[in-house]
Amino acid sequence: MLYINNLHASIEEREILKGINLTVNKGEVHAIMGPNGSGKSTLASVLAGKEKFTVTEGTVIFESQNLLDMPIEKRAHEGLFLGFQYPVEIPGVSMANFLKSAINEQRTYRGEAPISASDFLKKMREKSAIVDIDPKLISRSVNEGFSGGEKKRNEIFQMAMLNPKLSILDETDSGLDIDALRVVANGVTHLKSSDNATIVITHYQRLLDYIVPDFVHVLYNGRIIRSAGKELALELEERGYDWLIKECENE
Amino acid sequence: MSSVISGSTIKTLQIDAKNSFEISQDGCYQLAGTNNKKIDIYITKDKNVEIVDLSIDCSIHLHLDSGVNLKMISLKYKVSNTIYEVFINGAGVDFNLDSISIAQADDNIGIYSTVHHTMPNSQSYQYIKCIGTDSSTTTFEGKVHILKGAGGTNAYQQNKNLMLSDEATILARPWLEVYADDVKCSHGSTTGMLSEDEIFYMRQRGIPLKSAQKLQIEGFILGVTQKISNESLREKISKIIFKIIEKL
Ligand SMILES: Nc1ncnc2c1ncn2[C@@H]1O[C@H](COP(=O)(O)OP(=O)(O)O)[C@@H](O)[C@H]1O
Ligand SMILES: [Mg+2]
Repeated sequence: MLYINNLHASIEEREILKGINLTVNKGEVHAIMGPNGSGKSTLASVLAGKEKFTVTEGTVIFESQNLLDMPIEKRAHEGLFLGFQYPVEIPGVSMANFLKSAINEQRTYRGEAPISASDFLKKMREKSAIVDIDPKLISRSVNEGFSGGEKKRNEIFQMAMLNPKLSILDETDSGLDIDALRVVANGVTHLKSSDNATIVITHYQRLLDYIVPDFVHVLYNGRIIRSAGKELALELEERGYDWLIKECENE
Repeated sequence: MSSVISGSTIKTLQIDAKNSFEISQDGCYQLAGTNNKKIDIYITKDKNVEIVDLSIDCSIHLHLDSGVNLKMISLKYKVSNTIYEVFINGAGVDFNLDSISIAQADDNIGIYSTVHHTMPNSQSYQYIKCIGTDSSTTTFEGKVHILKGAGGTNAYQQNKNLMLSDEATILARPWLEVYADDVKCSHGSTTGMLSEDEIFYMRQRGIPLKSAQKLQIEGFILGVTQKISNESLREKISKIIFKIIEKL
Protein backbone atom coordinates (compact mmCIF):
# COMPACT_ATOMS: atom_id res chain seq x y z
CA MET A 1 0.00 0.00 0.00
CA LEU A 2 2.73 2.46 0.99
CA TYR A 3 6.37 2.33 -0.08
CA ILE A 4 8.68 4.99 1.27
CA ASN A 5 12.09 4.86 -0.30
CA ASN A 6 15.07 6.92 0.87
CA LEU A 7 12.91 9.92 1.80
CA HIS A 8 14.76 13.13 2.62
CA ALA A 9 12.97 16.33 3.59
CA SER A 10 14.02 19.74 4.88
CA ILE A 11 12.56 22.88 6.28
CA GLU A 12 14.32 26.19 5.79
CA GLU A 13 17.44 24.44 4.44
CA ARG A 14 17.63 22.21 7.51
CA GLU A 15 17.39 18.51 6.77
CA ILE A 16 14.94 16.80 9.12
CA LEU A 17 14.29 13.49 7.37
CA LYS A 18 17.53 11.84 6.32
CA GLY A 19 16.60 8.77 4.33
CA ILE A 20 13.45 7.05 5.54
CA ASN A 21 12.58 3.58 4.25
CA LEU A 22 9.28 2.02 5.20
CA THR A 23 6.81 -0.38 3.66
CA VAL A 24 3.25 -0.70 4.92
CA ASN A 25 0.90 -3.39 3.62
CA LYS A 26 -2.86 -3.70 3.85
CA GLY A 27 -4.10 -4.99 7.16
CA GLU A 28 -0.98 -3.94 9.08
CA VAL A 29 -0.53 -1.69 12.07
CA HIS A 30 2.85 0.04 12.38
CA ALA A 31 4.02 1.97 15.39
CA ILE A 32 6.61 4.69 14.99
CA MET A 33 8.32 5.64 18.21
CA GLY A 34 11.26 7.81 19.08
CA PRO A 35 12.33 10.70 21.28
CA ASN A 36 10.95 14.21 20.82
CA GLY A 37 12.36 16.05 17.84
CA SER A 38 13.24 12.88 15.90
CA GLY A 39 11.12 13.82 12.91
CA LYS A 40 7.98 11.75 13.52
CA SER A 41 5.54 14.60 12.95
CA THR A 42 7.63 15.78 10.02
CA LEU A 43 7.27 12.39 8.37
CA ALA A 44 3.50 12.51 8.88
CA SER A 45 3.30 16.07 7.51
CA VAL A 46 5.41 15.25 4.46
CA LEU A 47 3.19 12.26 3.65
CA ALA A 48 0.10 14.45 3.98
CA GLY A 49 1.70 17.09 1.74
CA LYS A 50 2.42 20.00 4.03
CA GLU A 51 4.04 22.59 1.79
CA LYS A 52 6.40 24.01 4.41
CA PHE A 53 8.60 20.94 3.98
CA THR A 54 10.65 20.33 0.86
CA VAL A 55 11.32 16.80 -0.26
CA THR A 56 14.91 16.78 -1.51
CA GLU A 57 15.31 13.09 -2.33
CA GLY A 58 13.43 9.81 -2.44
CA THR A 59 10.05 8.49 -3.53
CA VAL A 60 6.76 7.56 -1.93
CA ILE A 61 4.35 5.22 -3.71
CA PHE A 62 0.82 5.03 -2.30
CA GLU A 63 -1.65 2.62 -3.86
CA SER A 64 0.55 2.37 -6.99
CA GLN A 65 0.72 6.12 -7.49
CA ASN A 66 3.40 8.69 -6.87
CA LEU A 67 2.17 10.31 -3.66
CA LEU A 68 4.58 13.24 -3.70
CA ASP A 69 3.13 14.54 -6.99
CA MET A 70 -0.38 14.84 -5.59
CA PRO A 71 -1.93 17.96 -4.08
CA ILE A 72 -2.94 17.67 -0.43
CA GLU A 73 -6.65 17.11 -1.08
CA LYS A 74 -5.98 14.42 -3.68
CA ARG A 75 -3.93 12.45 -1.16
CA ALA A 76 -6.97 12.58 1.10
CA HIS A 77 -9.26 11.50 -1.74
CA GLU A 78 -6.96 8.55 -2.39
CA GLY A 79 -7.51 7.49 1.20
CA LEU A 80 -4.73 9.02 3.28
CA PHE A 81 -5.78 10.39 6.65
CA LEU A 82 -3.66 12.28 9.16
CA GLY A 83 -4.74 12.47 12.77
CA PHE A 84 -3.01 15.65 13.85
CA GLN A 85 -0.82 15.91 16.92
CA TYR A 86 -2.20 19.43 17.35
CA PRO A 87 -5.63 19.66 15.69
CA VAL A 88 -6.37 23.27 14.70
CA GLU A 89 -9.46 25.23 15.64
CA ILE A 90 -11.46 26.62 12.74
CA PRO A 91 -13.75 29.32 14.14
CA GLY A 92 -17.00 29.84 12.27
CA VAL A 93 -16.83 26.56 10.34
CA SER A 94 -19.27 24.09 11.83
CA MET A 95 -18.28 20.46 12.26
CA ALA A 96 -21.28 19.40 10.21
CA ASN A 97 -20.52 21.73 7.33
CA PHE A 98 -16.86 20.78 7.40
CA LEU A 99 -17.44 17.02 7.47
CA LYS A 100 -20.16 17.12 4.88
CA SER A 101 -17.90 19.07 2.52
CA ALA A 102 -15.07 16.63 3.12
CA ILE A 103 -17.23 13.55 2.58
CA ASN A 104 -18.86 14.95 -0.53
CA GLU A 105 -15.55 15.98 -2.07
CA GLN A 106 -14.26 12.47 -1.52
CA ARG A 107 -17.43 10.95 -2.97
CA THR A 108 -17.29 13.20 -6.01
CA TYR A 109 -13.69 12.12 -6.55
CA ARG A 110 -14.83 8.50 -6.57
CA GLY A 111 -17.69 9.30 -8.93
CA GLU A 112 -20.38 8.87 -6.30
CA ALA A 113 -23.41 11.09 -5.66
CA PRO A 114 -23.34 13.45 -2.66
CA ILE A 115 -24.51 11.94 0.62
CA SER A 116 -28.15 12.63 1.51
CA ALA A 117 -28.92 14.73 4.56
CA SER A 118 -30.49 11.81 6.39
CA ASP A 119 -27.67 9.39 5.59
CA PHE A 120 -25.21 12.00 6.77
CA LEU A 121 -27.00 12.44 10.10
CA LYS A 122 -27.25 8.71 10.53
CA LYS A 123 -23.56 8.32 9.87
CA MET A 124 -22.72 11.12 12.31
CA ARG A 125 -24.75 9.43 15.04
CA GLU A 126 -23.29 6.01 14.36
CA LYS A 127 -19.66 7.13 14.26
CA SER A 128 -19.84 9.53 17.17
CA ALA A 129 -20.96 6.60 19.32
CA ILE A 130 -17.78 4.70 18.45
CA VAL A 131 -15.54 7.34 19.98
CA ASP A 132 -18.08 8.37 22.58
CA ILE A 133 -17.90 12.00 21.53
CA ASP A 134 -20.42 14.42 22.99
CA PRO A 135 -23.00 15.16 20.24
CA LYS A 136 -23.00 18.77 21.43
CA LEU A 137 -19.43 19.13 20.21
CA ILE A 138 -20.53 18.21 16.72
CA SER A 139 -22.82 21.21 16.57
CA ARG A 140 -19.92 23.55 17.29
CA SER A 141 -17.17 25.02 15.13
CA VAL A 142 -14.36 22.61 14.26
CA ASN A 143 -12.33 22.00 17.44
CA GLU A 144 -13.21 25.44 18.78
CA GLY A 145 -13.06 25.44 22.55
CA PHE A 146 -12.59 21.64 22.64
CA SER A 147 -10.41 20.28 25.42
CA GLY A 148 -7.21 18.46 24.47
CA GLY A 149 -8.89 15.09 24.85
CA GLU A 150 -11.97 16.15 22.91
CA LYS A 151 -9.80 17.25 20.01
CA LYS A 152 -8.14 13.85 19.90
CA ARG A 153 -11.47 12.03 19.97
CA ASN A 154 -12.63 14.31 17.23
CA GLU A 155 -9.71 13.20 15.07
CA ILE A 156 -10.76 9.57 15.45
CA PHE A 157 -14.38 10.55 14.84
CA GLN A 158 -13.38 12.19 11.56
CA MET A 159 -11.35 9.14 10.66
CA ALA A 160 -14.44 7.01 11.24
CA MET A 161 -16.56 9.32 9.08
CA LEU A 162 -14.06 9.30 6.21
CA ASN A 163 -13.07 5.64 6.36
CA PRO A 164 -9.54 6.06 4.98
CA LYS A 165 -7.24 3.38 3.56
CA LEU A 166 -4.21 4.58 5.46
CA SER A 167 -4.46 6.43 8.76
CA ILE A 168 -1.45 8.11 10.28
CA LEU A 169 -2.21 8.99 13.89
CA ASP A 170 0.29 11.44 15.29
CA GLU A 171 0.46 11.17 19.08
CA THR A 172 -3.28 10.73 19.35
CA ASP A 173 -2.57 9.33 22.81
CA SER A 174 -0.72 12.30 24.30
CA GLY A 175 -2.74 14.27 26.79
CA LEU A 176 -5.34 11.54 27.20
CA ASP A 177 -6.28 9.92 30.47
CA ILE A 178 -6.62 6.15 30.57
CA ASP A 179 -10.37 6.15 29.85
CA ALA A 180 -10.04 8.42 26.86
CA LEU A 181 -7.07 6.42 25.68
CA ARG A 182 -9.12 3.24 25.78
CA VAL A 183 -11.94 4.89 23.85
CA VAL A 184 -9.59 6.15 21.17
CA ALA A 185 -7.83 2.81 20.92
CA ASN A 186 -11.16 0.98 20.69
CA GLY A 187 -12.15 3.34 17.91
CA VAL A 188 -9.00 2.53 15.98
CA THR A 189 -9.38 -1.20 16.54
CA HIS A 190 -13.04 -1.03 15.53
CA LEU A 191 -12.14 0.58 12.21
CA LYS A 192 -9.32 -1.80 11.43
CA SER A 193 -9.85 -4.16 8.51
CA SER A 194 -7.84 -6.30 6.14
CA ASP A 195 -8.17 -3.53 3.55
CA ASN A 196 -6.73 -0.64 5.49
CA ALA A 197 -3.59 0.11 7.43
CA THR A 198 -2.62 2.30 10.36
CA ILE A 199 0.57 4.05 11.36
CA VAL A 200 0.50 4.99 15.02
CA ILE A 201 3.03 7.57 16.10
CA THR A 202 3.62 7.60 19.83
CA HIS A 203 6.36 7.84 22.33
CA TYR A 204 4.62 5.83 24.98
CA GLN A 205 4.24 2.09 25.08
CA ARG A 206 0.91 2.74 26.86
CA LEU A 207 -1.18 3.08 23.71
CA LEU A 208 0.31 -0.11 22.29
CA ASP A 209 -1.32 -2.10 25.08
CA TYR A 210 -4.59 -1.30 23.35
CA ILE A 211 -3.57 -1.00 19.71
CA VAL A 212 -1.31 -3.96 19.13
CA PRO A 213 1.18 -3.20 16.34
CA ASP A 214 2.57 -5.69 13.85
CA PHE A 215 5.78 -3.67 13.61
CA VAL A 216 7.54 -1.14 15.78
CA HIS A 217 10.01 1.33 14.28
CA VAL A 218 12.26 3.70 16.12
CA LEU A 219 12.86 7.02 14.43
CA TYR A 220 15.87 8.97 15.59
CA ASN A 221 17.49 11.99 14.04
CA GLY A 222 15.60 11.61 10.78
CA ARG A 223 16.28 7.91 10.27
CA ILE A 224 14.62 4.66 11.26
CA ILE A 225 17.31 3.10 13.43
CA ARG A 226 15.50 -0.09 14.39
CA SER A 227 12.46 -2.05 13.21
CA ALA A 228 11.13 -5.09 15.03
CA GLY A 229 7.95 -6.72 16.32
CA LYS A 230 5.76 -5.48 19.17
CA GLU A 231 8.23 -6.72 21.79
CA LEU A 232 10.51 -3.79 20.90
CA ALA A 233 7.99 -1.39 22.39
CA LEU A 234 8.13 -3.22 25.72
CA GLU A 235 11.90 -3.18 25.70
CA LEU A 236 11.87 0.57 25.02
CA GLU A 237 9.44 1.08 27.86
CA GLU A 238 11.85 -0.67 30.22
CA ARG A 239 15.16 0.61 28.97
CA GLY A 240 14.43 3.94 27.24
CA TYR A 241 15.98 4.95 23.93
CA ASP A 242 19.54 5.67 24.95
CA TRP A 243 20.93 2.15 24.60
CA LEU A 244 19.47 1.89 21.11
CA ILE A 245 20.87 5.25 20.09
CA LYS A 246 24.30 4.26 21.41
CA GLU A 247 24.19 0.92 19.63
CA CYS A 248 23.30 2.66 16.45
CA GLU A 249 26.05 5.24 16.80
CA ASN A 250 28.64 2.49 17.37
CA GLU A 251 27.66 0.78 14.15
CA MET B 1 -45.22 56.75 13.14
CA SER B 2 -46.02 53.90 10.81
CA SER B 3 -45.31 50.35 11.81
CA VAL B 4 -43.31 49.63 8.70
CA ILE B 5 -40.26 51.79 8.61
CA SER B 6 -38.36 51.75 5.40
CA GLY B 7 -37.54 53.79 2.34
CA SER B 8 -36.40 57.30 1.87
CA THR B 9 -39.02 59.00 4.02
CA ILE B 10 -37.25 58.26 7.26
CA LYS B 11 -34.96 60.89 8.50
CA THR B 12 -35.49 60.58 12.17
CA LEU B 13 -36.59 57.52 13.97
CA GLN B 14 -37.58 58.43 17.44
CA ILE B 15 -38.45 55.64 19.78
CA ASP B 16 -39.46 55.82 23.37
CA ALA B 17 -41.30 53.57 25.77
CA LYS B 18 -44.67 55.01 24.81
CA ASN B 19 -44.64 54.45 21.10
CA SER B 20 -42.03 51.80 20.70
CA PHE B 21 -44.54 48.99 20.17
CA GLU B 22 -43.64 48.62 16.52
CA ILE B 23 -40.08 47.96 17.47
CA SER B 24 -40.87 45.47 20.19
CA GLN B 25 -43.21 43.52 17.97
CA ASP B 26 -40.95 43.31 14.96
CA GLY B 27 -37.80 43.31 16.95
CA CYS B 28 -36.09 44.64 13.90
CA TYR B 29 -35.59 47.65 11.72
CA GLN B 30 -33.91 47.98 8.43
CA LEU B 31 -32.79 51.44 7.57
CA ALA B 32 -31.85 51.90 3.98
CA GLY B 33 -32.40 53.98 0.92
CA THR B 34 -32.28 57.25 2.72
CA ASN B 35 -29.96 58.80 0.23
CA ASN B 36 -27.18 58.68 2.75
CA LYS B 37 -28.90 61.19 4.97
CA LYS B 38 -28.12 60.85 8.61
CA ILE B 39 -30.61 59.08 10.83
CA ASP B 40 -31.28 59.96 14.44
CA ILE B 41 -32.61 57.25 16.67
CA TYR B 42 -33.81 57.80 20.24
CA ILE B 43 -34.53 54.89 22.52
CA THR B 44 -35.79 54.91 26.09
CA LYS B 45 -36.71 51.99 28.36
CA ASP B 46 -36.67 49.40 25.63
CA LYS B 47 -33.99 46.77 25.23
CA ASN B 48 -35.55 44.82 22.39
CA VAL B 49 -34.37 46.90 19.54
CA GLU B 50 -32.36 45.55 16.70
CA ILE B 51 -31.19 47.78 13.92
CA VAL B 52 -29.68 46.47 10.76
CA ASP B 53 -27.96 49.29 9.02
CA LEU B 54 -26.65 48.98 5.51
CA SER B 55 -24.07 51.69 5.97
CA ILE B 56 -26.21 54.75 6.55
CA ASP B 57 -24.82 57.33 8.95
CA CYS B 58 -26.66 57.41 12.22
CA SER B 59 -26.72 58.84 15.67
CA ILE B 60 -28.19 56.66 18.35
CA HIS B 61 -29.27 58.23 21.60
CA LEU B 62 -29.77 55.72 24.34
CA HIS B 63 -31.61 56.82 27.45
CA LEU B 64 -32.44 55.17 30.76
CA ASP B 65 -32.62 51.36 30.66
CA SER B 66 -32.55 51.09 26.92
CA GLY B 67 -30.53 48.91 24.64
CA VAL B 68 -29.89 48.28 21.01
CA ASN B 69 -28.30 45.58 18.92
CA LEU B 70 -26.84 47.35 15.96
CA LYS B 71 -25.62 45.43 12.93
CA MET B 72 -23.59 47.45 10.48
CA ILE B 73 -23.20 45.87 7.10
CA SER B 74 -20.94 47.62 4.60
CA LEU B 75 -20.84 45.93 1.22
CA LYS B 76 -20.37 46.80 -2.41
CA TYR B 77 -19.89 50.48 -2.14
CA LYS B 78 -17.26 52.03 -4.35
CA VAL B 79 -16.47 54.81 -1.98
CA SER B 80 -18.33 55.07 1.25
CA ASN B 81 -17.85 56.40 4.69
CA THR B 82 -20.18 55.33 7.42
CA ILE B 83 -20.19 57.50 10.46
CA TYR B 84 -22.07 56.54 13.51
CA GLU B 85 -22.15 58.05 16.90
CA VAL B 86 -23.73 56.53 19.96
CA PHE B 87 -24.65 58.61 22.99
CA ILE B 88 -25.23 56.64 26.13
CA ASN B 89 -27.20 59.21 28.02
CA GLY B 90 -28.80 57.06 30.67
CA ALA B 91 -27.87 54.47 33.25
CA GLY B 92 -28.37 50.75 32.66
CA VAL B 93 -27.91 50.94 28.89
CA ASP B 94 -26.71 48.02 26.77
CA PHE B 95 -25.19 48.82 23.44
CA ASN B 96 -24.11 45.96 21.21
CA LEU B 97 -22.54 46.38 17.83
CA ASP B 98 -21.61 43.79 15.24
CA SER B 99 -20.14 45.15 12.10
CA ILE B 100 -18.88 43.56 8.93
CA SER B 101 -17.42 45.24 5.88
CA ILE B 102 -16.12 43.78 2.67
CA ALA B 103 -14.05 46.01 0.40
CA GLN B 104 -13.42 44.79 -3.13
CA ALA B 105 -11.67 45.98 -6.30
CA ASP B 106 -10.54 49.54 -5.60
CA ASP B 107 -13.27 50.29 -3.05
CA ASN B 108 -12.49 52.77 -0.37
CA ILE B 109 -14.56 52.04 2.71
CA GLY B 110 -14.45 54.00 5.93
CA ILE B 111 -16.14 53.14 9.19
CA TYR B 112 -15.98 55.80 11.84
CA SER B 113 -17.58 55.19 15.18
CA THR B 114 -17.74 56.99 18.47
CA VAL B 115 -19.44 55.73 21.58
CA HIS B 116 -19.92 58.33 24.30
CA HIS B 117 -20.58 57.04 27.77
CA THR B 118 -21.97 60.01 29.64
CA MET B 119 -23.90 58.23 32.41
CA PRO B 120 -22.88 55.52 34.88
CA ASN B 121 -23.36 51.77 34.88
CA SER B 122 -23.86 51.12 31.20
CA GLN B 123 -22.21 48.71 28.83
CA SER B 124 -21.01 48.78 25.27
CA TYR B 125 -19.76 45.75 23.37
CA GLN B 126 -18.47 46.30 19.88
CA TYR B 127 -17.21 43.73 17.39
CA ILE B 128 -15.95 45.14 14.13
CA LYS B 129 -14.78 42.89 11.34
CA CYS B 130 -13.31 44.08 8.07
CA ILE B 131 -12.34 42.12 4.98
CA GLY B 132 -10.03 43.65 2.39
CA THR B 133 -9.61 42.13 -1.07
CA ASP B 134 -7.93 43.20 -4.32
CA SER B 135 -6.48 46.70 -4.01
CA SER B 136 -9.18 48.06 -1.73
CA THR B 137 -8.71 50.30 1.25
CA THR B 138 -10.61 50.05 4.51
CA THR B 139 -10.31 52.52 7.34
CA PHE B 140 -11.77 51.81 10.73
CA GLU B 141 -11.68 54.41 13.44
CA GLY B 142 -13.41 53.50 16.63
CA LYS B 143 -13.44 55.80 19.57
CA VAL B 144 -14.78 54.97 22.99
CA HIS B 145 -15.24 58.07 25.05
CA ILE B 146 -15.98 57.70 28.74
CA LEU B 147 -16.84 60.97 30.41
CA LYS B 148 -16.43 61.99 34.00
CA GLY B 149 -19.43 60.72 35.89
CA ALA B 150 -19.72 57.56 33.79
CA GLY B 151 -18.31 55.35 36.55
CA GLY B 152 -19.18 51.66 36.49
CA THR B 153 -19.00 51.64 32.72
CA ASN B 154 -18.09 48.44 30.96
CA ALA B 155 -16.76 49.10 27.47
CA TYR B 156 -15.34 46.50 25.14
CA GLN B 157 -14.24 46.87 21.57
CA GLN B 158 -12.73 44.21 19.37
CA ASN B 159 -11.61 44.73 15.80
CA LYS B 160 -10.60 41.81 13.56
CA ASN B 161 -9.43 42.25 10.03
CA LEU B 162 -8.92 39.72 7.29
CA MET B 163 -6.67 40.56 4.36
CA LEU B 164 -7.28 38.49 1.25
CA SER B 165 -4.75 40.22 -0.94
CA ASP B 166 -1.28 41.66 -0.56
CA GLU B 167 -2.43 44.85 -2.22
CA ALA B 168 -5.34 45.51 0.11
CA THR B 169 -4.94 48.05 2.88
CA ILE B 170 -6.69 48.04 6.22
CA LEU B 171 -6.08 50.92 8.57
CA ALA B 172 -7.38 50.37 12.07
CA ARG B 173 -7.40 52.97 14.79
CA PRO B 174 -9.13 51.85 17.95
CA TRP B 175 -9.03 54.60 20.44
CA LEU B 176 -9.97 54.96 24.07
CA GLU B 177 -10.50 58.14 26.04
CA VAL B 178 -11.35 57.68 29.68
CA TYR B 179 -12.10 60.45 32.16
CA ALA B 180 -13.90 58.40 34.80
CA ASP B 181 -12.68 56.11 37.56
CA ASP B 182 -13.94 52.65 38.27
CA VAL B 183 -14.54 51.62 34.68
CA LYS B 184 -13.72 48.42 32.80
CA CYS B 185 -12.45 49.00 29.31
CA SER B 186 -10.57 46.96 26.82
CA HIS B 187 -9.98 47.06 23.15
CA GLY B 188 -7.94 45.13 20.66
CA SER B 189 -7.24 45.01 16.98
CA THR B 190 -5.78 42.16 14.95
CA THR B 191 -5.16 41.85 11.25
CA GLY B 192 -4.37 38.57 9.59
CA MET B 193 -4.49 36.56 6.41
CA LEU B 194 -6.27 33.24 5.98
CA SER B 195 -4.67 30.69 8.27
CA GLU B 196 -2.40 28.23 6.43
CA ASP B 197 -2.76 25.70 9.21
CA GLU B 198 -6.56 25.77 9.00
CA ILE B 199 -6.43 25.41 5.23
CA PHE B 200 -4.00 22.51 5.48
CA TYR B 201 -6.32 20.82 7.98
CA MET B 202 -9.33 21.16 5.67
CA ARG B 203 -7.41 20.03 2.58
CA GLN B 204 -6.12 17.01 4.49
CA ARG B 205 -9.74 15.98 4.89
CA GLY B 206 -10.29 16.33 1.16
CA ILE B 207 -11.65 19.86 0.84
CA PRO B 208 -9.97 21.58 -2.14
CA LEU B 209 -7.98 24.77 -1.61
CA LYS B 210 -10.61 27.15 -3.05
CA SER B 211 -13.45 25.67 -1.01
CA ALA B 212 -11.33 25.65 2.13
CA GLN B 213 -10.62 29.35 1.66
CA LYS B 214 -14.32 30.06 1.17
CA LEU B 215 -15.27 28.12 4.28
CA GLN B 216 -12.78 30.15 6.25
CA ILE B 217 -14.05 33.47 4.92
CA GLU B 218 -17.65 32.44 5.60
CA GLY B 219 -16.58 31.48 9.08
CA PHE B 220 -15.13 34.91 9.65
CA ILE B 221 -18.39 36.58 8.64
CA LEU B 222 -20.88 34.11 10.04
CA GLY B 223 -20.49 35.33 13.59
CA VAL B 224 -21.98 38.65 12.50
CA THR B 225 -24.73 37.55 10.12
CA GLN B 226 -25.95 34.77 12.39
CA LYS B 227 -26.59 37.25 15.15
CA ILE B 228 -29.25 39.03 13.09
CA SER B 229 -32.40 37.85 14.82
CA ASN B 230 -34.84 38.81 12.09
CA GLU B 231 -34.90 35.72 9.91
CA SER B 232 -35.77 37.18 6.53
CA LEU B 233 -33.22 39.93 6.89
CA ARG B 234 -30.61 37.46 8.06
CA GLU B 235 -31.21 35.30 5.02
CA LYS B 236 -31.23 38.22 2.65
CA ILE B 237 -27.93 39.59 3.89
CA SER B 238 -26.30 36.17 4.09
CA LYS B 239 -27.27 35.60 0.47
CA ILE B 240 -25.69 38.85 -0.64
CA ILE B 241 -22.53 38.01 1.27
CA PHE B 242 -22.29 34.47 -0.10
CA LYS B 243 -22.60 35.88 -3.59
CA ILE B 244 -19.66 38.15 -2.90
CA ILE B 245 -17.60 35.30 -1.46
CA GLU B 246 -18.39 33.12 -4.47
CA LYS B 247 -16.75 35.73 -6.67
CA LEU B 248 -13.63 36.26 -4.55
N1 LIG C 1 7.85 24.24 11.24
C1 LIG C 1 9.10 23.97 11.60
N2 LIG C 1 10.07 24.89 11.47
C2 LIG C 1 11.35 24.62 11.84
N3 LIG C 1 11.75 23.45 12.36
C3 LIG C 1 10.82 22.51 12.52
C4 LIG C 1 9.45 22.70 12.16
N4 LIG C 1 8.77 21.57 12.43
C5 LIG C 1 9.67 20.73 12.96
N5 LIG C 1 10.90 21.27 13.00
C6 LIG C 1 12.11 20.64 13.54
O1 LIG C 1 12.22 19.35 13.01
C7 LIG C 1 12.68 18.43 13.98
C8 LIG C 1 11.71 17.28 14.08
O2 LIG C 1 10.47 17.75 14.62
P1 LIG C 1 9.18 16.84 14.68
O3 LIG C 1 9.00 16.19 13.35
O4 LIG C 1 8.08 17.65 15.20
O5 LIG C 1 9.64 15.76 15.74
P2 LIG C 1 8.79 14.71 16.60
O6 LIG C 1 7.41 14.71 16.06
O7 LIG C 1 9.50 13.43 16.42
O8 LIG C 1 8.85 15.18 18.01
C9 LIG C 1 12.82 19.20 15.27
O9 LIG C 1 14.19 19.52 15.46
C10 LIG C 1 12.02 20.46 15.04
O10 LIG C 1 12.58 21.53 15.72
MG1 LIG D 1 5.57 15.16 16.98
